Amino acid sequence: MSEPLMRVVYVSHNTIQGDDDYLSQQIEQILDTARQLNEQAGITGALMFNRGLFAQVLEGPAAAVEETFERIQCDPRHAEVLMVACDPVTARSFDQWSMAYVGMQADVPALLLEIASETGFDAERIDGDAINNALRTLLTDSDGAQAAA
Amino acid sequence: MSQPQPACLPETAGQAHELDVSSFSGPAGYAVLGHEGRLYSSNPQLAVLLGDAVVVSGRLDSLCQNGHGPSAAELMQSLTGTDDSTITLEIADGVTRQLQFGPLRAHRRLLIVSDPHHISVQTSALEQDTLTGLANRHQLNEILSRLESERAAAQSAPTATNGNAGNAAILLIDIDRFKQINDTLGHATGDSLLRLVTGRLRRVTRETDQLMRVGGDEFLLALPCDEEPGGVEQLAIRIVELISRPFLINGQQLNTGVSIGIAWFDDEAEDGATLLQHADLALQKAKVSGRNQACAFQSYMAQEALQRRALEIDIRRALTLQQFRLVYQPQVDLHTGKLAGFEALLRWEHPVRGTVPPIEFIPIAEETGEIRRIGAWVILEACRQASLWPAELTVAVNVSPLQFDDEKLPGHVKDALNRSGIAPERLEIEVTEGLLFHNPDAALAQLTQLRQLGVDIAMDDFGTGYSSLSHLSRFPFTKVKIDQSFVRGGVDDRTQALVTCIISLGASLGMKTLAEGVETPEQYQRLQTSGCDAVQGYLISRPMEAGSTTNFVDQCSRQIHDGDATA
Ligand SMILES: Cc1cc2nc3c(=O)[nH]c(=O)nc-3n(C[C@H](O)[C@H](O)[C@H](O)COP(=O)(O)O)c2cc1C
Repeated sequence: MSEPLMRVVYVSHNTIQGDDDYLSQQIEQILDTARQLNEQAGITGALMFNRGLFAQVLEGPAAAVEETFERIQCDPRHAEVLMVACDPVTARSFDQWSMAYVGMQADVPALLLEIASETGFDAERIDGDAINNALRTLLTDSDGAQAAA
Repeated sequence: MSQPQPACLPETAGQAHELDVSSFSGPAGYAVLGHEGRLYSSNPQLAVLLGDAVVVSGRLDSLCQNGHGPSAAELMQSLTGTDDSTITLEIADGVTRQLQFGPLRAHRRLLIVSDPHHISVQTSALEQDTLTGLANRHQLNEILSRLESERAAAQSAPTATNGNAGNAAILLIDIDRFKQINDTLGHATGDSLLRLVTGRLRRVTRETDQLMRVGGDEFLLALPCDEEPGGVEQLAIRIVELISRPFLINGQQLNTGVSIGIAWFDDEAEDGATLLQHADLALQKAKVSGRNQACAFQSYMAQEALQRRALEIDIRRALTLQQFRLVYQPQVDLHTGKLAGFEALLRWEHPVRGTVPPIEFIPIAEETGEIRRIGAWVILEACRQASLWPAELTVAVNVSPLQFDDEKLPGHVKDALNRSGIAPERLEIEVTEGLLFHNPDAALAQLTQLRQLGVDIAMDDFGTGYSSLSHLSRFPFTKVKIDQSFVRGGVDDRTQALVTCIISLGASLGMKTLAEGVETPEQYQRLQTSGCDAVQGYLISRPMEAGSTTNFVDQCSRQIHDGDATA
């Protein structure tokens, strides 16, 4: 792939109302759509959900990332989107996943998100690279994460 | 809101509220019909679309008489039915019309005739914004008049079906600081942003809503009358939230927001033009309240706007009606204790409003541009007055930053000097710091011209704004006026240090210093000791009428001669 690659990391608040079952079902749905559309668009990445917060890494050709990001922006299932990183990259971190998922059971990112919520969502203090790296480590080191291509 | 009406009134009872469509504008033809096909009212477009015969005969069934028309039975069904129905008819070869029938009160039927061809090319090239693909300003009137007639129709319709209909509303949506985005990030980015904003707006609008781009960074969303209570406000809040989410354009994050003005059709807004005005007033409110929010129209906004309009008109007339006058406040030289001159101050005496303070009318005169005419008069009048004083006395005149915009100020000054015959050195032009931000290049050029004429230039209210030393040295000031807030009341050590500093700064730049607001002999003494050149304030005198100045001048020279200087 010769097109320049770009990576976006953002954090957002979940606005899905309902019990855990409904929530899981909605997230399942998000992942289904995401994986299908991302594969077509050449996007890879990871999504993390915990304690009412989402964090997502999107990587791929710049135009595709922008288009996908814009679509996600319009989604009423989350709000108060805060972009924490938005950079050109030379290689993908999640090239095996059209959208990997790290759910509630994973401890490390949960900690990261706690930091995010404690800093009052201050973009300056949330480290996009840290989120990216933590997710990556988690997904490559443990098979426990629900990673799917 | 209209009163609920029984669904079936006798023919006569409904007449008082009979819908009159004769003034309906737009591309569609409208008619109110009786069950038998009689025309009660119609708009001019009806004859255009259906031919004169219908209007001349006053009956719709005249349509059946030409070969192309609908069958009489078909027409009868549409006329007597209680539901909506549509007939398409060919009035000439290849020319078709769509006739939509709907229920009105009192056995009347509303007919809307349209040219299907017109509908299909509704958003023709002219009417479509090429960037966003939305309808543009050219379609605005049409959409507003459609809303207007839908509202009128809904109001006349049997309440059984329309009783709960809310009122149609429009949202005027303005992208905050779009110009800045365009200027700093480039037009390509601005265009991308407009497209993305359009995309987001489209997501929250329904098929029945009309979204259009009515200005560079302004959108209008027209919502038909089926909103539930609070629905419009909720939608507006949703739009504000949605647009405040980050955008990603050319690898860069961009954050913006929208301000929204909401207005409904109601007793105060019965036509599209008023509706638009209301939305605009609400939008202005949203903007002055800090942007990135929605604001619904309230009647006080219209009142405020009216009052403001009235004030604008009064200001525009004031000069001609000679309601302005100048009063003069003396300035005293601290080295000699002698009267040095006067500052001319503008007063507006309105027969009904009474004395209007300058802070109330100057900003409006600045906005309307009237300040240039007023300002030119002030300079001329002040010079004329000064010509009546001894030749060593000066006159200071305040000039608004806006007066530099048309570059006519040096001309006005020259003219005033010629006509009054006073020496240029006796005139001092006072400018505020605002000038240095408003249009600094034009200001510098004109101030330089004025200096070349020999006129003095004073920097007014020094220390209150964003005064910077570089301004002081860059502009050809001959005097610095120390603001009264540094002089009045009990002055602490720090303030005193600041005043001393301004005085020595002025001295080192070759500028004189004058302190305003001097009220006590102590203040006078302190300023004198600090090396200040002149003072002005209640201690010497309040501003006085022009007629009193010569007397005051005489009095001062007598006091000097008696060896009894002021203070
Ligand atoms: C937290 C979150 C993450 C999402 N991630 C993706 C994604 O990676 N790719 C994607 O195509 N859609 C993703 N979606 C779904 C999009 O918002 C959108 O619903 C989907 O792309 C379908 O687009 P459409 O609404 O235009 O049909 C995500 C949604 C949420 C709430």
